[in-house]
Amino acid sequence: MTILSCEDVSKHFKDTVAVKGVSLALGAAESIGIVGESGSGKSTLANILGGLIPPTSGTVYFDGEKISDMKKTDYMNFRQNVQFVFQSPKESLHPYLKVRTSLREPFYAKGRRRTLKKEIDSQILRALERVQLNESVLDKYPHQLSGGQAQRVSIVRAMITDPKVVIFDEAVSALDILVQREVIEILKKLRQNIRTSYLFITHDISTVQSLTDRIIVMKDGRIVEIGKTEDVLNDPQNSYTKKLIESAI
Amino acid sequence: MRKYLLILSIVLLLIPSTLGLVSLFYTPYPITQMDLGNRFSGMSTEHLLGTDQFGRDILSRLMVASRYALLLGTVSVTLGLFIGSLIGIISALSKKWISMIFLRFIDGMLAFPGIVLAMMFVVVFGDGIYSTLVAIAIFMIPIFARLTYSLIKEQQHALYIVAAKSIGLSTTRIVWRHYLPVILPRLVTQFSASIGSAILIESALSYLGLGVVPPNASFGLMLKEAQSFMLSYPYLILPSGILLVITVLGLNLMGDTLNDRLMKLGDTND
Repeated sequence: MTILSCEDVSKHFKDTVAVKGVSLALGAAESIGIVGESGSGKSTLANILGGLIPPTSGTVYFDGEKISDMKKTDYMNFRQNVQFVFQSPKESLHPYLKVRTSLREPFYAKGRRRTLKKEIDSQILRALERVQLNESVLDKYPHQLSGGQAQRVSIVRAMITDPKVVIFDEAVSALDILVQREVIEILKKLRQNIRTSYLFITHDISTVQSLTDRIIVMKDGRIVEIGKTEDVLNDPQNSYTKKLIESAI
Repeated sequence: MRKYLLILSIVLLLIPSTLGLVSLFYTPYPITQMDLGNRFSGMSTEHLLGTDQFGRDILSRLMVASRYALLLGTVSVTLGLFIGSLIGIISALSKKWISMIFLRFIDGMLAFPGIVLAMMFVVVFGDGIYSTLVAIAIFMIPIFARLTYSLIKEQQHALYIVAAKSIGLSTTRIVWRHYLPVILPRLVTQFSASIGSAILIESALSYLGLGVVPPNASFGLMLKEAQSFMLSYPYLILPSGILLVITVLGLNLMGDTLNDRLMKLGDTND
């Protein structure tokens, strides 16, 4: 069953065409990696799929419903069910809010303001455990966290209310190699436990090989190759994909 | 150095604040009480700052003038801050065409000299404290609207704002919990500096006979009344003139030092 899809989506920024007639479908509990070099249009496509920017043309569907035709309540439901983890973890957390407050916000967004804070906090603690963070981070501000800690907090924030889709936009690119591995291991574990669909956006094909079912390769705003992860990695059909794989090795 | 400037601004502001607060329950003499046999009496133990041309106690009038100046300044700027910020927020977060209408309106108001706008308002709606208060508030609205608009626009593409939107938070919560803590230091600075301007406008209006009217007391009114006797009794002009300078200087210094301190706080939090 398809949870998030787009049909013939294009996006123009003044004279630049960032995305050109892209169609794709993300199944329930499926994980897709969108790979391409900088400027290939992958982040723009992710932002369109996640509803952060509207496409210039084409249609995006969530749970079979057009996003552009959604009523306010349906749109808010979509918004809460499609979450993002961004590239710069510290910048994506509010500088003046403690981690505890930042992690409570998704519950408020879901209209669970009346839920006991105690209940929310115990859910937060369980979620922190899953990403190997301890309680002490809750009383810290983003600038007091390391890059890896901040990214794990962002992951918890995105996943704490069990959304249907999580989009990771270059989520490990800004981290050093050891922390990258740690975060990828955490994401692998999370994938086993939670029935959520994932969209991994990255320029480094090696970071998604163990996390995705399918890989989509983008170049100049178009999809140049799409297929199962093993197939694309072992037997790439497009020369550009080959170059990406070679550069990752 | 900055620390001393803050202390200096607090000390300066304590003078009119204390005078104004005390005037709420005590003045040496009623401000309208005339004693024609005791005109231009000069400083004495009975009248610490002397009496004016009607034999009224200058200290008592100065105390009440301080109260009006601070009250009018604070209330009118608070009104301007709330209405202006609300307009700024709506303009920044609305669709382009709504934003354009608001912005052109604000530009129009800003292009009009504030004092002339306030004078027009007072002439149309009558003089007195309330008209002066509303006139100054109207003058302050576009200043705060423009500032809030640009501060919100500045933050609109910050990743933490995009992240807040992506979580699905309501616009009200995003404004309240995400924009406001970041833009507040600049608004507080502007607020403090604007009270100084508001007091100057109030004094100017009263000086022109359009603000606080006799027999009430205000810095502008006292300056105007003392002006006729400036050469023969120069001490008449000093108390209100000096206190006006002290008040505005204190507020401006406070605005500057607050700006530096709050900006520093913002930097460490980044």
